[in-house]
Parts: sequence; C-alpha cells; structure tokens
Amino acid sequence: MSVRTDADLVRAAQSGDVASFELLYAKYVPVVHAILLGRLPPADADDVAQNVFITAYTKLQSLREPAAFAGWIARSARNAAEDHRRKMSDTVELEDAYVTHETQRDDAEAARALDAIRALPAAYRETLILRLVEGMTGPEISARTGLTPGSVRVNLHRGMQMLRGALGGSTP
Amino acid sequence: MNDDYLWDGSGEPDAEVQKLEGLLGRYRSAAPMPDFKRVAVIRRRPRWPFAVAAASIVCAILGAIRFYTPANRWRATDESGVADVPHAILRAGDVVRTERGSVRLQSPAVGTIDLGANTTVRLIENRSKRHRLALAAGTIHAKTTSPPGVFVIDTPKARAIDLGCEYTLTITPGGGGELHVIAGWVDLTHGYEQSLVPQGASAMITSDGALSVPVFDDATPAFHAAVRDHDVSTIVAHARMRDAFTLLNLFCLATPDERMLLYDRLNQLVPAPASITRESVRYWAPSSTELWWTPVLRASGINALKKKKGALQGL
Repeated sequence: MSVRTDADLVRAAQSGDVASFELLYAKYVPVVHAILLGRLPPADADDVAQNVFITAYTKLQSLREPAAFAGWIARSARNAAEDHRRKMSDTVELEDAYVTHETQRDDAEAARALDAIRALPAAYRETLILRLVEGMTGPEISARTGLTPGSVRVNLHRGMQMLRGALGGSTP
Repeated sequence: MNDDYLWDGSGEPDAEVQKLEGLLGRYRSAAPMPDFKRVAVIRRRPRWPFAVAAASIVCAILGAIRFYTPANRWRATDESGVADVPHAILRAGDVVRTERGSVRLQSPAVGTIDLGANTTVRLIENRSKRHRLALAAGTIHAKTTSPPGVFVIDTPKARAIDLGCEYTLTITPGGGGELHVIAGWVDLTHGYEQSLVPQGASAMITSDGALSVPVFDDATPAFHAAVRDHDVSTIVAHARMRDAFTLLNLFCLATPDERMLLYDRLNQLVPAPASITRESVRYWAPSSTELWWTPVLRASGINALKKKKGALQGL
C-alpha cells in the first residue's frame, strides 16, 4: 500500500476531500499543540490549536506549494499564539494561570517543569515539548517538523541538559 | 550520558526523562477534532453578489443620514398596555416581555422593531456601530435603515445579521425558528454555518442550531418539504427556475452522488459555465461552483434588487 504524502493529502483536501484534511490534522495536531503550549497557558492551547486548523482549512486554497504544509501550519500556530497573547495581555499572566490555581503536588511539579521548558530557547522548547508532552520519538519529531534527525537529536540533548540545570540538577 | 532513551525510547531508561514524561503527559493535546465538514459550509458562499453590494450601499446611505443624530437610544412603546417594559428608553441589559400584547422598539440608528405576543427580548448593545438584541422566544418584525452588519439579533441557536432591510424572525421556546426576509438580505449564522437569505425567501433554524438553505416562499409545498427532509431526488423533481438558487446552495450539504443529481437539474435550469463539469463538482469545494453564482442569481431573480431601490428607500 502506498503512503500518501502531505502534498497528496493537501491536494485532495483542496479538492474538497475532508477526510484527507482530517489525516493532516491527526498528523500535525501534536506539533501545533506543542508550539502553542510553549507560548500559551495550557488551558488555551487546545482551543487555539483547533482554531489554527479551522483557519488553515478555510485558507487551504491559498497554499500554493502543497508539500510545504508542515512549515505553513507551524507558522500559522506561531502567529496564532502571538495573536492570542496580545489579546490576553491585559487579563491573566501565564504563571498565574496554571501555578496559582493548581494545588496538587504533581500538578505543581508538572507546572514547574513546563515553566522551565518554556524558559528555554524556542528550538529546544518545541522539541522537548514534542518529546516529553506529546510523547513523540526523535525520528517522529524529525519527520513532522522538517528538522534533520541530527538537529532534533542536538535539540533534545542540549534542551534536556538546560532543563536539568533549570530544575536544579534533578526532576522537580 | 547515553541519550538513546531520550531520542527514541530505546536503551536504558533515563529516570529523569521518565519522570518528566509522567508529569508532563497531562498537558498532551486533548481537544477533539473539529468537524471540518461543517467548517466547509462557511466557505460555500461566493463573493457577495453584486445585488447585495448595491442594496448595502443604499442602506449605508440611509443609515448614515440617521447616524448623525443622537441615534443610539432605543425607545420602547407598549402598544397594548399589558407588556413588561422596564424603561421607556431602554438601557443595555433591559428585558422586554410582551406577554399577550405587543411592543414597538424604535431607534433612529436602526429603525423599527415590532415585538409580537409572547415575545421576550433583551437589549445587549446599543453602540454606534453595533446594536444587538437577544430574542429568547417569540416573533419580531424588523424594518431597518442601518448600515449592513450594525443590527444583530441573537437567538438561542443562531444569529441574524441584518444586511437591510425588512424581515420577520420567529423563535420557539425550544430555540428553533424561522427567518422570513421581506426585503433585502439577512445573514443567518450558527458557528461555521451560514445561510444568506434573500428577499422573498425563508430559512429554518432547527432546535439543535442547524440552518436550512434559503428557499423561496413561492416554491411548491413539495419542494419545501423535500428541502426540509433533505430528499434530493424530490428536490430536483420539483425545482423551478427560481429554485436554482436553492439548488446551488445545497451542493455543500450533499453527498457526491446527490451532487450529481443537483448538477443535472441545475444544469437544465441554468447551464453551467464551461469550466464547471459534472465530475468537477462531485468532490465539491467552494471554488467548484464559484462561477455559477452570477447566472443562478440572475435566473432566480435576485439581482432584480439592484433595480428596486424604491422598495428599499421606502422602508
């Protein structure tokens, strides 16, 4: 059975085949969610991720190079995160959103770990969230982000090194 | 340290990574997949027909004249003496209940809204660029002169955006209802669904918020019933020339086989532009039928709005 490439799926979706877009959604929602989780409160990341895909679906005809879907959807997610942050800037600070209101020990530890990841440079931050939150392996991250396997491996290694330092040499 | 476990989960497990996986897994993406079939509905409309643009300009001019007066107040007049009207000049948040009577709401910026018996309405906004009422249940008859998009009615399941200039909207206690447009256009929306209803047509709102396509009031009863039941075979059998507008609206809701039926009948009524073939609409996208809108609007008599400025000005 042949594997349908992103370009195949995008072209089919542009012709009205909703099922093809749903396959693209399933493949890339972890990537979009990881990008958003690195920038927004967890409670908002799911909603904004849905909006990113809905907007992408309505604008899919404007994607002239179907093979570029991965980069296009990632850019959309980063832009959506910035838009959302601007809208939320006068309401709730990120830290307050998930630290103050979570009292269980594990929740607080998780929030602290996520906070530490969010303080890392973007390349390490997104790669580590894909690995530690979304549960993807390095090869899967490489396939869905367009980064080379070598870059992903370096990002994971250096990111984890910085994370260990930020968390005080051990997990929280 | 060996990074194999961090890389692909192989090799000797790294305790710190394992603990972080356990802690952070709670943040994993959990949102349900959006219903992209419904999202497609928002794209089914073409660019606004020229007729809408012409009607909009007329309404904008009329609205602008009124706009430079102290226009944002809403005056409520209890015409029956039995209604519950909190203030003669309504404030945002005020609720008007007509009970067995009737009430007239008037705003220089918008026009006149008559509330029928057993109608409950709340004034939500009365700003210069947005006047919004919530219709919980009952019937309103709106005659507006405001620019398109300024006057909005929220119902429990849908939103009616006035594009000018006269319509009735009935909402049942269950949240369903019917919009009937007497003049101009009304944009009926629910989430990503949209039904753009022209003069002389109606659209239904079901109790779960689904919107019907617009159907002209003078269509045959069999056609009305078939649209309501989504019986495409019967729809095409009873479609007249004027119903071409309804047929074209139905493509986005139809299955590929149903689209073949719709194509064949619509092509008989209004020959398709050369670029729109039978196969090109089987897997329909909004662009598939874009070029068909202008001849269909003309065949359905909708662009006649352009020539009926008198009707609009008289409101």
